[in-house]
Amino acid sequence: MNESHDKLDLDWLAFCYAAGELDAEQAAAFESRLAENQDARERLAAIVGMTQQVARVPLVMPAQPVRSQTRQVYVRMAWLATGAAALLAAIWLGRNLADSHNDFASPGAGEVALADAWAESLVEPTVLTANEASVEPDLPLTAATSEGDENEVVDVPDWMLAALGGESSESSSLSDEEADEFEEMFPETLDWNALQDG
Amino acid sequence: VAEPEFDSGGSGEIRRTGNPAASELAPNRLNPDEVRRLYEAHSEELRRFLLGVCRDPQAAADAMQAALVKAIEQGHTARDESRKAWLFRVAFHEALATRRREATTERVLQTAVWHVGTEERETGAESATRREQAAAVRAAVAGLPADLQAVVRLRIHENLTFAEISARLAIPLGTALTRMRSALARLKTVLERHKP
Repeated sequence: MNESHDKLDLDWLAFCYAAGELDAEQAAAFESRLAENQDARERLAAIVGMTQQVARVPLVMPAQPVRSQTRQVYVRMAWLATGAAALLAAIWLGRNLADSHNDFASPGAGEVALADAWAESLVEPTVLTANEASVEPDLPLTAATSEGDENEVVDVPDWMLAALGGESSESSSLSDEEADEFEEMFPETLDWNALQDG
Repeated sequence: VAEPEFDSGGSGEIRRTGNPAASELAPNRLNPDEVRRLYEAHSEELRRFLLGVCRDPQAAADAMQAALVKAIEQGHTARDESRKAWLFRVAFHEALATRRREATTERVLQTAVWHVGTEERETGAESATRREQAAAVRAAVAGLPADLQAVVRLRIHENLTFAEISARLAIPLGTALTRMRSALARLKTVLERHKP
């Protein structure tokens, strides 16, 4: 231990003695030293003088509290901003989740229209062409597909004839020209003359 | 025979009172001029030393006066080169005796020595040198790291014990001691450069 270190120790010991921080045993030991060591006495006088100088000067410490307060403000602002950002994110996320849920629950307008069209297509009566009608098993109007004679009279059920007759009686019946045109269009299907006569 | 008394107050004058015939009993005693020079040379340092021992201004003043009386009566027994050490040693024993006599031990154990200078701080006229020293001290303290400044403020200005500082700052006791010790070492280095 060099002399400088000894002096530092002696300064510290003297300060603790003057400050009343030594217990009785330590204080007695230091006083024994003071009784014989002039250097120890002078160190005690010096540390008391220096401490008094420090005590006389008002210790203004604006830097540390201001920094601390400023930092606290910054920290609070950061937390506030973080909280606000988290809240906004939560709101945005919540809305997105709700939208996606609604997408599954209620289809869009285009999809509704498509579904309606599909539904209508299922219930709309199919307009059968003559060829398509010829394959209808319930109807005996299958002359076109039959392999029989083109002039063979079709066996028309009575209920159909009644319906046609009613209609013809209520509405205008086909004129001859119209009948001819119709026959030209559908020569193989019906014997219109027989129908009208019937 | 009444003991001689000396006014060793702030004026710096040594005024002997009491029975002048006492000096005639020992012709080898220091003469008043020698005592005055001794006082002027060492009184400030001696006062701080006695304050450190007594931690009470009145007890320190009493010890100072008693030491000067001894200097008049027995100072001639010390060699010139060791007269200062002799004076301090005599003053130290007088301080212990005064402390015991005035039963200040219990009280001063709880009092920091630097809190006895209030009167001096309030009434003392600051010379240019003192203002310069005060500025140096202020700069030295301001130059300390914040954690050291905090301990200095709490220990010296608020007179908290190290245990209380430890609790206040929520630091170990050893840390508080280390910071104070480090602060004192730094302050000493800086202030010694500004010594008049």
